[in-house]
Amino acid sequence: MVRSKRPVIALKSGCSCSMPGVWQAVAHNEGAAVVFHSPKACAHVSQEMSLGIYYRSITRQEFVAGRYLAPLISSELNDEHSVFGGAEQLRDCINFVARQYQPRYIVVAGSCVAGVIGDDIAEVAAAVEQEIAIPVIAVPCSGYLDGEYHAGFYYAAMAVAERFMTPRPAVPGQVTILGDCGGPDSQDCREIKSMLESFGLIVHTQFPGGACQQDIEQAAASSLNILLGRSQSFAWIRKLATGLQERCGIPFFDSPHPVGWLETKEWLTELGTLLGRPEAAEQAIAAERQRLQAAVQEVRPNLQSVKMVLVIGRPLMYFEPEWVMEWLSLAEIEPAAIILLRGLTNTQQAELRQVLKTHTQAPVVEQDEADEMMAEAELILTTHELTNDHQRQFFLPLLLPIGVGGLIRQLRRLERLALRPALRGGILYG
Amino acid sequence: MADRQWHDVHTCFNTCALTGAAAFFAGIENAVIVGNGPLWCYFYALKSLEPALPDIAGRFFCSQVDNQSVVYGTEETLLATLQQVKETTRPAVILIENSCSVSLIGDDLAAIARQADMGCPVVCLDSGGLIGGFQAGYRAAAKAYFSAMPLEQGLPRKPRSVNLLGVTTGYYNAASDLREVKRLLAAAGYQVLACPGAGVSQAELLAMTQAEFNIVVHAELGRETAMFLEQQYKMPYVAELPPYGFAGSRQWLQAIGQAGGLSEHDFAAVRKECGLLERRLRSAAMELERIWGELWFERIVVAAPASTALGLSQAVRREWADANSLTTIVQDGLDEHFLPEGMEQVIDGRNGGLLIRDCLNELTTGLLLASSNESAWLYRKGAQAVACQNIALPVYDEVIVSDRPFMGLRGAVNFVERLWERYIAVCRLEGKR
Repeated sequence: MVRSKRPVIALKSGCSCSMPGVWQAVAHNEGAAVVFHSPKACAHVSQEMSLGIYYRSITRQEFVAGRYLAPLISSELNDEHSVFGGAEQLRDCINFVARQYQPRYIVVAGSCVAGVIGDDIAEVAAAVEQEIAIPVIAVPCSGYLDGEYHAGFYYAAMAVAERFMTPRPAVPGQVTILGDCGGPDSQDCREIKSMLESFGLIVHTQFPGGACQQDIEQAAASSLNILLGRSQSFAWIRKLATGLQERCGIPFFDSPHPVGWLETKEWLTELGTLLGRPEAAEQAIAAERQRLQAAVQEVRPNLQSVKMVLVIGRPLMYFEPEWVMEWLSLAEIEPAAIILLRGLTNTQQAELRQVLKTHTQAPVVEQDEADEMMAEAELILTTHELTNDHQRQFFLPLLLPIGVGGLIRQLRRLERLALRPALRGGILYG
Repeated sequence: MADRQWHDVHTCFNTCALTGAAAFFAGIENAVIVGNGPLWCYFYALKSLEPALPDIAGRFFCSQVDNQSVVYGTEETLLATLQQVKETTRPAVILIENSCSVSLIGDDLAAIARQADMGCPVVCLDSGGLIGGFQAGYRAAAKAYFSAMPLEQGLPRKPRSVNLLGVTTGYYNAASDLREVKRLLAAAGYQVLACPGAGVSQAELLAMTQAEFNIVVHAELGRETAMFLEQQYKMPYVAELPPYGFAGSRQWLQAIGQAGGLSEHDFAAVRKECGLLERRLRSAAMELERIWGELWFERIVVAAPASTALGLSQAVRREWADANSLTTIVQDGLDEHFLPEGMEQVIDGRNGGLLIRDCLNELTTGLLLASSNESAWLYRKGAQAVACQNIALPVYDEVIVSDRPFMGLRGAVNFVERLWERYIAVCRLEGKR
């Protein structure tokens, strides 16, 4: 029987919070300190998220020793403040942070509690800044109340830019990457940098994450901004790019980061056109094609003709069928069936069916009708961990990997799963 | 207020009261938990509980509160969630817990629950981060449960029976430790009737009063409940540091023996096992010492919830290793009542962040008994000559499945084995340099 380990939740509201977005925006910016005007637990949630990222970075050889980690401090709101307000507590906290950590600047994020009790964080920040003579940057968010992770990331980035970026003459060939995707040391960011190098572009910095104050100031001299983001995150990163264009006149390459081969080709072509370097784009495409073909040649014998089913429990907002279908076609796998998990609303199911039928002729069935197909499958590609532990499951990543490098990494992982003895079953995380 | 200190949360770990409260109810068979709050907080609590309770998502729900609900109230969304609970589960008891922002808007949870007519007891609670961390949430949930659910009275006391209070699968290594504690008690002739918070049925809970007395395992979680049960039901209790090490286990059993009026004879089997294991361990350690030298650490830092930190600090100092200095960090605050003699530096994790930071920065060689949080701190600053052993959550670098307690007699053996493994790994690393 097809069963998700966690019940698939029909999302009625957003599922994240702006504060981790604020934290992630400046967590590794040298000289920054971050204050959450929140109960202490909210800071621990972001801390634990960072801890997970840190351990993953070790595994992926993305860890760079000595990378700055900003102090993260909670103003420690408690029950008492819900009656009397927490502005005074925040003021004392920021003062303490300035004395104790001597940061170059302090970023303050508001929680849902601060939002409900109505503390004016911007006012407190402005007042304390006068006292301590260090920039105190208030981010206009209140936990989950007025935006999610990406909103927090955007507002923090924009607030920092407004404070430190002023127009500068553009340096030809110098570009800035806007967005996150695991930070400047991640495999995804390395992939983007490598593609940019094909055009002779030098990445000056990644903004906002990982940039020191000097980098941020110098980012205003970029001749172009490159955007990291897709779907939800792209909308916010594009807003950031627009804001920087208005503020400092920096043009941006108006494209989400590419996933899959077709998009990578298109991204390179469009960038070549924008830069007036179509020949460089062609060369880059040829190199990437060769790289992809070599990898596909290696993995295809172990993947082609595998009987596979695709299980989807994410709505289109969090799932891109185009990428999955392209990825499978490279390996010469046609799904035997596509199974939609319970928990998707009727509308979400209809939207998925609509898109899926443009990519495959595989039957799309509901969870209750899928037992036989599941039993016959050799591999299961899934958006949710399934209870069928005895079968080999490939967990599709929520954040799709960038470019040809990302495609190859996923193909190799899928190959590893295919090579695993069927009896062993288990889940492999893509 | 001018003297007030804040600190970088990276120095010390805790979760949210929402998680602690959910953990207490998750430890009751067929209890359903409804988080009345946003999905983000819910997912965090769920993720914290899942390692120990992989199926918890089937009985942990979220009302998915959004900004509209904060303005107009959560009644509509909570009723819809309770309807879903009705349709998909058969709960023995339900906890509805408000997240911090929802607790501020003053919805009458009990009235909403009555309207939903759930057909089982419903306990309502404000348990967001405003009331504190994991321990505060656990205590609040236990208090709410025992206040709302009167225990059966007038039942005959079962001789040689006890309940274990202050236990939770939300702690590191909890299931193994609980099994070892039960084994030790069984060896001394005691039957454990109920373990609120760590696998207990509603019927067992209600019949807890049959026990001769209660034993508090983790005081920061269970002492308040023990006091409440003593007051309400005249149930005496024993609250000592958990049984870490051979001496610690003997001391713990002795306290229980005194409370239960046992004689030396009743502990003969445990004493015999203890002696045997001690001899075997000493002999094995001596073999290693001939090659690797004595188990010596320049500095030892222990960081965990209070009872774990203090209990293990005492055992490591008294029985297991030599060191120049020992620092104990109690993540959730210090109750002087449980401070053992001979402790050196003890730091209250709630307000000693700056001291903790200095302490971790100074730990360049030695032993760290803590969580993946503290070991990440050391790794980031390149302190690789430190032997690290997890004793607290969160843990990102270890698989925990098999039975390998830290408490009790078997725990003492297991812990020393691990200390040697860690020590030798560091010696090898140093040797390579």
